[in-house]
Amino acid sequence: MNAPHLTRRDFTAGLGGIVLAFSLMPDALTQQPPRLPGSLNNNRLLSAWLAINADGTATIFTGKVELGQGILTALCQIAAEELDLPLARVKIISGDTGRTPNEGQTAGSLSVQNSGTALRLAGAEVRSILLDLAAKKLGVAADNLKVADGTIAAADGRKVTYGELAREADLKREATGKVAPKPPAQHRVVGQSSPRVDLPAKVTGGAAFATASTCCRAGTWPTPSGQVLHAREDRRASSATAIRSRLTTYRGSASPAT
Amino acid sequence: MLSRDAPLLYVLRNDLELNAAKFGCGLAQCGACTVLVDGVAIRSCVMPVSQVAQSEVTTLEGLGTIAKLHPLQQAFIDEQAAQCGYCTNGMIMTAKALLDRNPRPTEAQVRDGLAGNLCRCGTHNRIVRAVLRAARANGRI
Repeated sequence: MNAPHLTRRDFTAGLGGIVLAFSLMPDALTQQPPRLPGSLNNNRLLSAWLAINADGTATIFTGKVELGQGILTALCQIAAEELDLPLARVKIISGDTGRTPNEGQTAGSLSVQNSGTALRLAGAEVRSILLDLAAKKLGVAADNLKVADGTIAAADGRKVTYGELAREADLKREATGKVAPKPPAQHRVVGQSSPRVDLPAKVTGGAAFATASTCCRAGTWPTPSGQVLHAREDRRASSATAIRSRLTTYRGSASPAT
Repeated sequence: MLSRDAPLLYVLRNDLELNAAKFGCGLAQCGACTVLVDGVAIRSCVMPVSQVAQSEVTTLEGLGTIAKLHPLQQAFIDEQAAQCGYCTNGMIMTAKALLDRNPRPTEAQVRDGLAGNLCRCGTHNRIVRAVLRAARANGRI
């Protein structure tokens, strides 16, 4: 065995030295916004995640899509819980690139972790914004108000609903992530089995799958890069060849906006 | 002009925009495209449209709507008998033809009747329970 003999000292000396680098620069000086949990970090506006409607419902938005894992139901439950709304009054918009936050892919069992966390914190924060508005309106401290089913009530019985506050609630602001969500012991919707919100459409042949989306109606769609997709209506096509040519037409029809 | 040999499925989906029947394998092997032709469950992906010209074609849309569900559709919701739901059309349409022939099937007969419809999510037991539930509901009507 003629392996070269090399001590640790020889090895270190041979390197000539070791450079260690580290930073004492505080976050504030690097001008990075504070890190927010889950997908809230990359989609920081409260309005990106939910809207309170004049009819007392809430619309929530997610970049995650339903694959049969039940994510739309789970996210509705999370938002309903934090907003103190009945599940039936929470509507969800999913995977509409024009309206929903960009959350990348739906994969890796990360949807509740990332989208759920964002909706949980955004829901808690919007609830507190609505409480503050109600407190001002009713002339009492927010701490003395109670919320049930989207109605905020003072101790003397006066009430104001989410729907009535919808117009005043400015959600076009960055989430702080600082309003604590409900502790699990207070959960009434989360943790219960809820009927899947996507099943009625699936058992009746409704629009539940990407394959039902129509690409070839006459019309134009703006793309993120500022181009416009033009498509022509060709509903008569029905053979396999025609279908292929329709898809080709669609793919090949991107042209710069004029 | 429709091509005479266009598969019924293509005509349903692309021309009539009836999207309940699904393109799965395109080879009549998975059942996702099942529709009823004169009450018989067939694979619309391999059925030339010219062969059904004189027939009554029923798709899942024709069974019921969200506002007025068919007992089978209601039973699939009650049993939460779907994950992704891509096979659901074929499961319900095949079950419809089965229950029309045999209104009170045994569990074994349901399993046998749905054996040609594939589900890759693993919802089979719920689907069988849903069909049996619908059979019981039909019995009460």
